Amino acid sequence: MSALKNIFLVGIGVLLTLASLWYGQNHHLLPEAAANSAPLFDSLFNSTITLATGIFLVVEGVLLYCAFRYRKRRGDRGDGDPNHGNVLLEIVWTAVPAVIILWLGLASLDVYQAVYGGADVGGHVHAAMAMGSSQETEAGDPGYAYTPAVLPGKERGQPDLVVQVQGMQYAWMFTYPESGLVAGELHLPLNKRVRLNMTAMDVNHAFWVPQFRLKQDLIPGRETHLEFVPTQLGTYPIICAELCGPYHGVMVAQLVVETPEEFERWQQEQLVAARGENNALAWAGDLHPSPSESAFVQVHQRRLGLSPADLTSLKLPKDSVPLTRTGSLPSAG
Amino acid sequence: MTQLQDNPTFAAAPKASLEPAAEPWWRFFTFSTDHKVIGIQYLVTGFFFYLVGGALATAVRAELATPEADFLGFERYNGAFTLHATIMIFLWIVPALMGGFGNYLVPLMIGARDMAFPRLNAVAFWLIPPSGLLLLASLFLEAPSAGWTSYPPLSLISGKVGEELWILSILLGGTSSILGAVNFITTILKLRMPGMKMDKMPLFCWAMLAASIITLIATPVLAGALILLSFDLLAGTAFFNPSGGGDPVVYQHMFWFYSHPAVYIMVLPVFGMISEILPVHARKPIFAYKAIAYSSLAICFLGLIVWVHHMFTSGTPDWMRVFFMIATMAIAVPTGIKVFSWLATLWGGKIHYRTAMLFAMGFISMFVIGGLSGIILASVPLDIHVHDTYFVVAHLHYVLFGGSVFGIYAGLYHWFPKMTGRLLNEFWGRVHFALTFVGFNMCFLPMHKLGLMGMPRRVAQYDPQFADLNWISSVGAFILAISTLPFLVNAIYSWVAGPKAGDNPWQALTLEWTTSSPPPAHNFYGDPILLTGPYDYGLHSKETLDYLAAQLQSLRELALAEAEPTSS
Repeated sequence: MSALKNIFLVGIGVLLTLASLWYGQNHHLLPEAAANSAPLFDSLFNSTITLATGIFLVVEGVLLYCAFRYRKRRGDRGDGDPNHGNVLLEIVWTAVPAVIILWLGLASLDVYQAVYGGADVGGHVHAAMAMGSSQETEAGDPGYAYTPAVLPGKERGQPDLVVQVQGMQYAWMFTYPESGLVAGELHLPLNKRVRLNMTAMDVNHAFWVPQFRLKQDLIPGRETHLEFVPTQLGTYPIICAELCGPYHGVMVAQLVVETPEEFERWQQEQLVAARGENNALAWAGDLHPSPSESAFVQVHQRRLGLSPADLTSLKLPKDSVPLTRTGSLPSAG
Repeated sequence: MTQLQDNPTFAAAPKASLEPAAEPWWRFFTFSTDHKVIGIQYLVTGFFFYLVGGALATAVRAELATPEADFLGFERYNGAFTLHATIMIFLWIVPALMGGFGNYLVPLMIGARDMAFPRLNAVAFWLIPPSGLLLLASLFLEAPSAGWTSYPPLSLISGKVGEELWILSILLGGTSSILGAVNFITTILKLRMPGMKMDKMPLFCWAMLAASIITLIATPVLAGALILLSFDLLAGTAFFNPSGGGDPVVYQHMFWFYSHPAVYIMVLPVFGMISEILPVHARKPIFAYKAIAYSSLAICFLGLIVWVHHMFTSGTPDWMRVFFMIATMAIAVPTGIKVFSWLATLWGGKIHYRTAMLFAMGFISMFVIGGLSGIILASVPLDIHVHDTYFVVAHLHYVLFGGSVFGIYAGLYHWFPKMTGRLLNEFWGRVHFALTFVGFNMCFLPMHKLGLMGMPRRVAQYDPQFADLNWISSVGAFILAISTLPFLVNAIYSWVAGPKAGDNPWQALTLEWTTSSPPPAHNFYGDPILLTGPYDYGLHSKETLDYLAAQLQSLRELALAEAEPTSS
């Protein structure tokens, strides 16, 4: 009897474990992975989902078992078993979650270090905007310094490309300091380490690329950073994730990951386009896929009452010289 | 134990002469100092605002039923979700739990005549209606639209009138909370009847003690943040305004120093109520009393040092991210202790499927999901991806709806007979539970995937690839909206014409069930007497309980007879 029961329990345990392991790998809850940070995130996420599924199944299973097995039977007016404690059991269900979160904490720390270690993500106050403080004192402020005792980050070396990111209601602006190029969409070369130096012009925004699993707020008066390596060619959305006003939902720009050669060509074209308006006109029609191809853009077009032709003409001032708010609207759409 | 049913004190309706006169309806609109009147005032006011907040939520989901911003439009949408969150937190869950159940139950459970400071108690309640009126007025003047978090600089440029109405409303509500917390702590520590040691107290009182300590420590910081924000807004100072050298991140710290612990203010009393309800309807002692009591205090302490997990993407330094990740994860341990103890309470019981029990068990099943998604949000690298997405919206609703609101409903079905002297209809209660459970999961389960796949929160318009899941979610929200109707009709009808409940319809053992339903002024006939421990189900013989009940009955008659000549 008891042996049969034990076999039954072990069987259930094996089934639960298998179900959790299976779901941890087959949840289909994440978009594609397109940067070095994404596979690290995904493996941690999958393990967490495996554990969570296991805990979920155990708790809901016991709840349903009790609900069925210990329902009051017709005519039974008695009380249940007056058992009100079991020290061993209590120790077990205090210790097991403690071990699980200890593991998760260490695993998270590991991934955090691998993704962010040494990248100085914690922002510091921007000297230009914060009155009465200078860059020197900020650099010496231990509150913002990265703490090696906790996170012995790897030596990373210099990033291959630095881009200045500015957020404003409701557009993104990307400046490539080496070439001086200013653009409304972010082009990055494949497999190169990129550093984004980010700040906001008006209110808080947040730079989020779901396919990279990275997010960082843009805060006025402060510079924040992200470092990553794009590992997959393609076009991805840059989504504003911090409420920034009524049109927060349309503050979306495109991120294009291309081969280093294509990236160079794009940069050159943009620079040429920025110098002469006629050239820019020619470029906008021919070389670049019309933004209206994306269904998402069409939605915004309809809202703004724009035809694709309007959009193409609107696009010009954005990519050419002075990037104004109206000029960059298509990038928001 | 079977004879409990036939026992005059524990089950049968009291004789006509022993029935207290019901409160006349107008007393609920006065400055009453009776904690029972104040408790019901809080609950009814809270429920009214629940309906307002629910209507706003329905409007939000109607907007999100399609990818385009075609129902409310962009500006009004932001006003709707800001007011929805503010109303649900500050005018429904906090007042209903702390003010409503806390006021009604704490003095009765510890054998006190009233709260320690009855007039302060009434003042605390009467701050709630003006607080609510300010928000209702903002619906017609100018809705606050910077989200319930109201981060500067956005909140400084989103309309002065709406923002200031929002600030004033929360300052009033916060003041009310602080006054209430002082009262609860004093009452629980000082007014327990003789013989009721701390470790003989019902677990709801432990939970209220923990929640009140949090309120007392955290709320003043929110008040400070909002007063400084007011100066920035109206007087042009720059505490948080970067264009004048202020730091918007400081506001986030001050805001979350209150608003994360506020989650525990909204869920600890529910933990307490669940610990009361499960033993009664499962006919078993609560499992691991001490572990549950102390885990409330552990949550109280840990809850105060985890707020930065809302700010992992706010340019937060590494050491801070790591510390707050570990602290946040640690909360899983005391919370796990509670959940496992509740399951062990059910194990081996004889579960009566009354509506209160359905909601209590529904609470466990839903809260677990909120707890597990909370673990994901605690981990820095995982949180960074899902922060400010629909995943967070899903998580917080599994905690605050699947947790708090399911718990409030469980409490309402359980204590309605004590409060009104009448029983709610069980059939419509089950309909209510089924609709709530189905609607809730349809509405909020898909949001987990939406957030992970790339849908940010607080957007009126979204990528069409998310249309299907949003449609399911909106249908769920409409079912949820409809689910309140059976409860509303049931509650109103039963309050007026429901069957009489008697003193103790569930054969429960805590003190509030030893007096009449509703209890008389000053709660007990003569002095309250501790007959049994609060959770002694299955521990006493039938003879003992019969004898105790008979003693109680004769004492009550004696007390009434003594009172009669003087009162008439």
